[in-house]
Amino acid sequence: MSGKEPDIDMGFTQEILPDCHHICLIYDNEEQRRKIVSAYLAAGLEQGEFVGYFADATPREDVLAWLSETGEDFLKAEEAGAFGVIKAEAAYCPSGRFMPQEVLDNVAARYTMLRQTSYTGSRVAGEMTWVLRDILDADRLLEYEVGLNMIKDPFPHVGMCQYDARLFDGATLFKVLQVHPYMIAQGKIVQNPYYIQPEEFLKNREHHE
Amino acid sequence: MNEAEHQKDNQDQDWQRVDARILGQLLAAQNLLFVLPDETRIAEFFSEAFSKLPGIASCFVCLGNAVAPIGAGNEICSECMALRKKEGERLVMPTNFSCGWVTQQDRRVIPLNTAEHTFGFFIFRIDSKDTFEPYWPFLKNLANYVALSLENRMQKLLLEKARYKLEDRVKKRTEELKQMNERFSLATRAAHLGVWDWDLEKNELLWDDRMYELYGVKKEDFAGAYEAWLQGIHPDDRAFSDEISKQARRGERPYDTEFRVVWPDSSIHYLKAYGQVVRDDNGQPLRMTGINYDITDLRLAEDQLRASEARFRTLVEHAADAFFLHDERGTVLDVNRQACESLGYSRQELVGMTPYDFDVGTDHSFIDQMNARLDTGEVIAFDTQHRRKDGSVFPVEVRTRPLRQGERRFAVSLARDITERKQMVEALAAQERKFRTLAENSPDNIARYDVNCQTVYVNPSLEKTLGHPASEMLGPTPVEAALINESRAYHEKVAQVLKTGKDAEMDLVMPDKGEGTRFHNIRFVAERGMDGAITGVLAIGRDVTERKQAEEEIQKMNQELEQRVVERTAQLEAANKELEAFAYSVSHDLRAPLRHIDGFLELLQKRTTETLDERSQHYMDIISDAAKRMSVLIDDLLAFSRMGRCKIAKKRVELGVLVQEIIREYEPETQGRFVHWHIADLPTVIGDPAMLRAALANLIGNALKFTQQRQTAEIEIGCLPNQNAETIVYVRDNGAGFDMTYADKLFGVFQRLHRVDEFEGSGIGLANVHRIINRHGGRTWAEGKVNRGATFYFSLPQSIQEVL
Repeated sequence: MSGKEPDIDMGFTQEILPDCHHICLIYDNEEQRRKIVSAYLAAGLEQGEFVGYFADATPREDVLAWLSETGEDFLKAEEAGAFGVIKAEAAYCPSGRFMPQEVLDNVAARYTMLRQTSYTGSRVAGEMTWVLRDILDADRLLEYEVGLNMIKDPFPHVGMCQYDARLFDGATLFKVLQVHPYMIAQGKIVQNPYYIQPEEFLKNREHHE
Repeated sequence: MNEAEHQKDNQDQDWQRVDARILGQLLAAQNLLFVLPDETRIAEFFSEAFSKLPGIASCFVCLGNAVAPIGAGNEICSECMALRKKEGERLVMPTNFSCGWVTQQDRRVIPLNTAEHTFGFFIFRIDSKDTFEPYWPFLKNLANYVALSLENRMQKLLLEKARYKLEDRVKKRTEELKQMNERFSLATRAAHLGVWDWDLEKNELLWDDRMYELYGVKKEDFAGAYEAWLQGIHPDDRAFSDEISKQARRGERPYDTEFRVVWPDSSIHYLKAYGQVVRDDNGQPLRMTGINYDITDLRLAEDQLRASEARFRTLVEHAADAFFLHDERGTVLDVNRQACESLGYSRQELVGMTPYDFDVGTDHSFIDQMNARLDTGEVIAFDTQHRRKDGSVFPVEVRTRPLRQGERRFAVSLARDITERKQMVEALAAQERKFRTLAENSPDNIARYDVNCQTVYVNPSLEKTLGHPASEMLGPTPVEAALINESRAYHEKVAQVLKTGKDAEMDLVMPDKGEGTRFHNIRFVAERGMDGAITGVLAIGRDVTERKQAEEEIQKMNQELEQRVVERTAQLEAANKELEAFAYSVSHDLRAPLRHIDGFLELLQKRTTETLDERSQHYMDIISDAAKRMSVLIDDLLAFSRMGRCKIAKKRVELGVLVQEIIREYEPETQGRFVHWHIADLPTVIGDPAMLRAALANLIGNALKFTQQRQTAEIEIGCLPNQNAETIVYVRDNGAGFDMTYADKLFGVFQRLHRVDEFEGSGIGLANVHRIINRHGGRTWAEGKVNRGATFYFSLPQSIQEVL
């Protein structure tokens, strides 16, 4: 996490958050998810950030339809290269299997690239349901989530991982909470009391294993 | 330190040992409850979360229906296991259900329950009681929160379930209503029903398309208000239709009515209307909805049926036969007037009776038989006797037929009083017997033919006459076959009488059994039945040979006599003519010497006036008077004889005018006399004017003459009224009259009833009148009494006048 914490608009909350953070959205209904996600992405576009969406279960058209309701011109932004919707699997498993470090490297490279442009920051939302499919090494998810928390790049970046509580079991959801410093509870972004610092989490993991 | 202080001190110590981060997690768990979609995930999440609590070896969240968390199977107590045995069924924990681990020392159990339900338990296996204890109150609070949340979810689920159920019902009901509506719409269209809806508050009356057709108006011409509807109703039906609508709105009666509507083309149509009033919670009417349909055909058919029924009722009521309507058991349900009159009961008395009560010949077995036959549809006719209320009995002819209406079988009986018919039949039989007796014993020949000209009877006399037994003559061979030559004419006579009904007659010449022929006169008489129709012909033949011969004899004698009359008349006419010629010549020849006598006597009187004495002068006067009178006599005689010869010139003669002229001519002679003339209206007749003048002048002259000695002469001339074949004129006076003993002499030549010195005259006058009237085809006669006046009549035949 970066040391400076300028105000950053999340779109759906008045919370003052650090300019680099990692949020977990556990949801059980689409309407709520749509509201939070579209406001979150629209605020990024408005602030001149690079905005990306990793879609898994939701068709691209639906995502664009949500976003069009925010008043921001995502199509124009897409044309300008400031916004993009890509398949979650392509983003997380570009080589066909899930390799956490590979994805983390891509994230770091992206920040480096974006820093050289006029974007004020990077903002990404990803649907995590791909994990539930039979993808090689998908069970290394927490490894990836912890890795994200360990990226020290000061370029402002925020990420939102979406977990559908109807599809993930309760124990997994609890573990997901342990690796996200922020969580969204009843439409509000709050500090996550279950969050465990990456080092401690990894140490506990090693201890259990 | 007292107990309370000790407890507070412990609490304070507990607080000091509480990890804020753990408390934060417990609070955050409340928020996470909202996104965990089901009990399983809640159990999984909380089991995982609580196992990280300080002082806990493990935690198991038992939520009744939730699948046991991985690796926690051994955490389920035996009580709960017993509950879970019913696999596949939702586990419902009793409200007072208690977890089996409660009694275990190393376990702490927090129930997840509300006042309504027990959802499960937080079950902690304690590792370090002291470490765990500070979190206990927070966990209890969380347990309450989770229980309330589950209660909410349950209620929400129940509500949702109820809502789905309701929605499903609404959906189904909507579908049913839609289908009903479609069916109703189809039905209304198929039944030609018009549907209406009237908003009472706004007075908006909505009609479907059919309603406009029913009222014969166009959509654009209908104002869509109650008054507009009322306006379309027949004026005579408007008031009650309005009243029925009002009563329905007041809830006094259902809206079920019918009325007539008048279309713009003035045609009248009958409509049936039903409706319902929709009311608010206070019972105030909000709207009315309903239907109309056309019942014109029905009403017209009913009218016709009513008229037909009325006609039928009238027919039945006025039928000459007694009418009875019976039910299946024979009980009388209805009767007509004739039934009452013939039996002497009132209608009320007869209804309810059975045939036993008035039918003399009916018993139970008969009724049973009748019913059995009526059930098969048979029409039964029989003769019986009916008993009147007064006990008297009369014969009837009954016809009974079944009448089916729906499931019921009635019987209709028509009873005809046949008393008269029976009497007539008996009378006819008696008449027939009488006829037979007469015919059998009659000397006349009698044969009877039916309407087909077939011989049905011959009497013994005819058998004898024709020499054939009756058995040979009856049947299709007519009697005339036995006749000679004239069978065709005979047959035609019979046929003619059958056709015209008028009696006929013919004569037949029939061979005598010995020699020669005999004459028969046959009279053909039509025979008629009760109804006046011709039933046959009776031929009555009589041997008239003797009469015929006598008639021929008389005819022969008559012819001889006529011939003799003709001859005698010719002789008389010749003699008459000779006599007339003689009279003429005598009178003509006598005139010359008489004129000489008169002429020379006058000369002698002039020369001897001075010389002859008075006596001689008187003798000469007598000679002169005699000569003059003789001259008058000869003139009249000459006129009389001329009258017989001259030709009659007939014209229209107005007798009234003629009489007035004659009276005027007599005026010089009536100077100084009192004569009262009574002249009635006299007819115009046809005759010779000169002759009729002479006749009337003579009669009037006689009247004047024979009233000379009366102070006042009363002379009446008139015409007798209503004389059928002739016109009768009379002249009446109040003069000397005559003795009726000599009345037949009055009109003879030179016949006088008075002396010449009393009443002068030639004695030719009335003979002349008689001759004139005689030549006109009329008659003369007179009535009188001595000194009491006389009346002279003459007649002129009207037939002659008409012919002329």
